[in-house]
Order: sequence, then structure tokens, then C-alpha cells
Amino acid sequence: MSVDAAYPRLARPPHYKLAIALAGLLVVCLFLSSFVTSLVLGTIPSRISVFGLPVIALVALATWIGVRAFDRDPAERRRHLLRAGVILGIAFLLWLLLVDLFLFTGDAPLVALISAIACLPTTAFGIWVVRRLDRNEKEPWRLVMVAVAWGAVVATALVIWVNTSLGEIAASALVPGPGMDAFTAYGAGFFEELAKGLAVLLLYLVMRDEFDDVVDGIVYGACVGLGFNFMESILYMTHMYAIFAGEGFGAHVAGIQWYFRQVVGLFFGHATYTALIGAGLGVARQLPLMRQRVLVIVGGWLVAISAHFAWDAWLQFFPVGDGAFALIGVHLRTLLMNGPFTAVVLLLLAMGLQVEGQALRRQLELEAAGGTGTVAPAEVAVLTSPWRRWQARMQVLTLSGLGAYRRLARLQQAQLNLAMERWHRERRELGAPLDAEERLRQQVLALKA
Amino acid sequence: MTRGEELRPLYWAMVSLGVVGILILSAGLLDFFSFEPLGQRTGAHATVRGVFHYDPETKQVNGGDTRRFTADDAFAAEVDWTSLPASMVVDAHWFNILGTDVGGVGPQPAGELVDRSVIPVKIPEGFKHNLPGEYDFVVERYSGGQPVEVLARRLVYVRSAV
Repeated sequence: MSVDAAYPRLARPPHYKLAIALAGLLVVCLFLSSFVTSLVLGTIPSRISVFGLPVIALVALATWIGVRAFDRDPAERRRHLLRAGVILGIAFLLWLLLVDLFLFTGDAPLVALISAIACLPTTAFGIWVVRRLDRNEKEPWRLVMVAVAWGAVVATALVIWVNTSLGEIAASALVPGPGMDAFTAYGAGFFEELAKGLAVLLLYLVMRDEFDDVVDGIVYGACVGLGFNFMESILYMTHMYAIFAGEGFGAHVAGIQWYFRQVVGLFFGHATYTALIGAGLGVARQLPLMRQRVLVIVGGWLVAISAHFAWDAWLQFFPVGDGAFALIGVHLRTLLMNGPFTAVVLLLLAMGLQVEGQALRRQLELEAAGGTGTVAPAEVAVLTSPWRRWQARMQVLTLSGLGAYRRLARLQQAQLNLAMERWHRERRELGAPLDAEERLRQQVLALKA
Repeated sequence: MTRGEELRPLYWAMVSLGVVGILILSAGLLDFFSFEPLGQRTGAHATVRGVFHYDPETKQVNGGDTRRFTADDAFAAEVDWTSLPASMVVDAHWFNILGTDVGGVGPQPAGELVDRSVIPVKIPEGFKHNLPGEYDFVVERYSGGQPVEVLARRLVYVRSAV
């Protein structure tokens, strides 16, 4: 919906500046962390320093250019997005190189590449499903992919430092066993969710016009989690391959990793945790008081950290049984330990969709009653039902072809965007001028004409 | 429906989830401190003479103290149990890169372990070599039937044999 952004900005709002400050702080923290870690921990973190910092700098640059694309003249948008895409691509490749170097095995480049190829279809399927969950107003692919890329590259780069350092601390101070597991699980839960959640927080601060409510928060959060899971899967597959290759079943173990991370755990792990953070930010997007906003954001973060912690720390206590029962047991473990949190995400999504659906219906009815011609009274029932919208498009496709189908899809989207804009204005969630709404209205009329 | 009412269920859902999160993390703290109880530092240190190549036939170590091995190498740590009070209940174990226990002695009083100073790494059942990666050798003090304090630690690195 970049063309019909809810409220084009004339100047940078305060939350935009906060986002820039946060991003700057992030880069400084990473730089200091990499410097200290490379001094203290030696070779492997040094390699991460050498290759990790350029990756982060490139992603930061790509994000900056990407954000500019949304703020500038539409004619320049394509050029900015292309540049941002190329830079993100370079960052991605550099990160893969870093993963290989981190594992420092001779087989790693090929194994990492094969692992990446194996994880691509499953992750792509996950992203497709998550994006489709937003039934009324799907998020633009470019922002969805930015979320995925941040989860895959920036968040993973951030946590490798911390996980390495925490591992060293735990190994030097704690007794091996459940206590040490709990300590490392605290570290992983806190820092990994912090790193992933930062991406959603930045989207919430910078892209308010594309971050409408709890539904959008869940979508962006889950996408960041899927990106993180993609890169983590490659890392574990390559790592496990390196460990078991000498025994002749490296590929088998890597395959098991793929199955549990990319099939069984695709929606149950990181996607669920970060979706909980996104849900908190999404609810905060629509709350009037700062105190309430902080409370729900912290609530989302806390439950995400605790869900992640519980999985990492208490996985070993779940009885999986022996022999054939073990196969059922390991699946049940995922279902029973992560399932409740995934169910909560789905419940929040359903609640969000219900609120959103009712609001859109009300706004469409008001718009139709206003007599502006943007929404006819008969269109309201169609526009508020994803199924009926699809039916209408298919009917047009059959009668008038693909061009007409696309035009109707654009019209339906513009009408829903207008209703969404009206909803935000009714809730006094916009600090933008009224002409943004009028501009959307003109766009709908132009599409109708 | 007013502006506040519309989002009230979602608001309270998120607040409740935050409380659930706090409860889970608190349970995690209890879990942590039950396995890492406070006030267990005795100041005792076990002396690990080194990690050496190991001959499974003679059950003796040979060569100098080494930090790097290949997956085909047999190796063992040597502990001077006389460096600890004889009545102190201790154990010593090797953990491979997956955190699996791959050989050790104890828990027993240190005085009863004097003739078991060499602790080799065992190749896991069904495997041909040691798994490559970091190996952690830990000497622990026991209290109340569980390890509570690390008395010595050595880290070695095993390279892949292929």
C-alpha cells in the first residue's frame, strides 16, 4: 500500500527520530561488542568481527535506503528499492560466508549452500501462510521481506556475540547440567528475543502507516521469526553435518535438523515467539496512553522470552519414550511445549481480525452513507468478506480477463485502505493531515472511473 | 463501542500474557538456583595435571599436556586427587560438544579415587571415532546428592579425522 500510504510525511515525526537513534545505538553496541569479544575470545569471534560488522553496516544502509524509498518521490522509489535490495543481497551472501567461517570446516560452503536450498521452500511457504493470515489488508511484500531479512541477518548476527560470550561465562562458572542449561536458556531467550523484537520495534516506529494493529504486528513478528529460523536452521544443519560427517551419517543428522526446524518447528518456534512481541507492539499501536502502550509491549516481550526460555531450559525434562514411541514423543514435545504459545498467537490473531473486521465494516458503511461514491452500499458486504472479495475477483477474471481482475483487486485494496485510514482517524491515532484520507478517496474514485 | 472498549480484551490479554511470562521466568530462576545453590563456594581447587594421549591397552597416559587432538586419538585427563580433602565427595567427567557425558569417575570421596587419577574419554557406543569439537573436562564437588561446585575445568579441541 505504499502508493496509498495512510499519511505521507512532511517532516520526520518524533518516533522516526527514536528509530534512527535506536538503529544508531544498535550499530555502536555491535561495534563495541565485536571489538571487546574479538579481544577476549580469540579466533572465531574475531572472524565474526571481520565479516559481521560489514554485514550489519550493509543491512543498516539498505534499511536506510529502503525507508527513503517510502518517503520520497514515487518516481525515485523503484531506484531506491533496487539499491536497497542489492545491498541486502550482498549482506546476505556475506552472512552465509560468515556462517561458513564460524564453522570453519572444509565442507561447510557446499553444505551451507545445500542447507540453504533445502530451507528455502519451507521458509517461503511459512512466509506465504503468515502473510495470508492478514485477511483484510495484506502487508506489502517489500516490508515483509525486510522483516525476514532482519530476522535472518541482523538478529542472528547480534545474538552470536552474546551466545558465544554467555557460553564462555557459563562454562567457566557453572556446573554442567540443568542449572547451566537454565542459564544459557535465559541468555538465549532474553537476547534472541531482544534482537528479533528490535526489528519489529523499528517497523512499528518507522512504518506506522503499514503497521495498523495487532494483526500486522503478528505478521511482521512471525516473519522476523521465520527469517531467524531460516538462518539458524542452516547453521545447525551445517554444524551437525560437520560433527557427524566422520561417522558417515552427517547428511542424515542434517536432514533430521531440517525436519524438526523447518517442518515440525516452522510455526511453533521462533515464528511464535516473535509473533508474541509483534502482538504487543500491534496492540500498543492503537492504545491512547503511553503507560498502556509500554505495558502491552513489555507483556509481549516477557511472554516471548519466557516461551523461548521454557523450550530451551526444560526440553530435556519432557519424556519422549523409547523406540517407536520416541518418534511420537518428540513430536508431542513440540506440540505440548510450544503449542500453547502458538495457540495464544492464533487467539490474538482471531481477536484482532474480529476487531479489525467490525471496524472496517463500520467505516465502509459510513463511507457509503457519506455519498462520496467511493463505496456503494452494496459493496460493503463484499468488501468485509475475504471470501466474497475473492469470488468477485474470480467472476471478473472469468468475464473480463486478467487486467480487469487486477484493477478490481487494486480497487478493493484501496477501498479497504480508505476504511482503515478512517478507522485510525476515528480512534485519533493519526497525527497526519486530513488530505491523506482525501487522497485515498481520490485514488478510489480514479480506480472506479 | 468507544475507543477504549474496542481494544479492552486485547489489552488485558497482553497484560495477562506478561504475567504468565513473569511466572515462567520466576519458575526458571527457582530451577536455576535449585541446581546452582548459593553459598556453595569452598575455595577448594582440584589439580588437573594435564590432558594427554592415552593408551587403552596399558591404560597409561603418554607425551606432554595437549590441548588439541584428532578424532582418532585416545586421550585422558590426569587428576591429582590428593589436592582435595579425602572426605570431599567429588566426580570428574568429560562432556563432548553435544554436552553428552563421555567418560568419568565418581561421585565418591576424593580419598577413594586416588588410584583412578587417569580419566579417559570413551568413544560413544556405535561410533568409530570421538565426535569433533570442544570437550569439557570438569571436576565437581557434590553435596546433597548433586554437583554444586566446579573445582577444576579443562577444555580441549578435537579435530575431525576426515
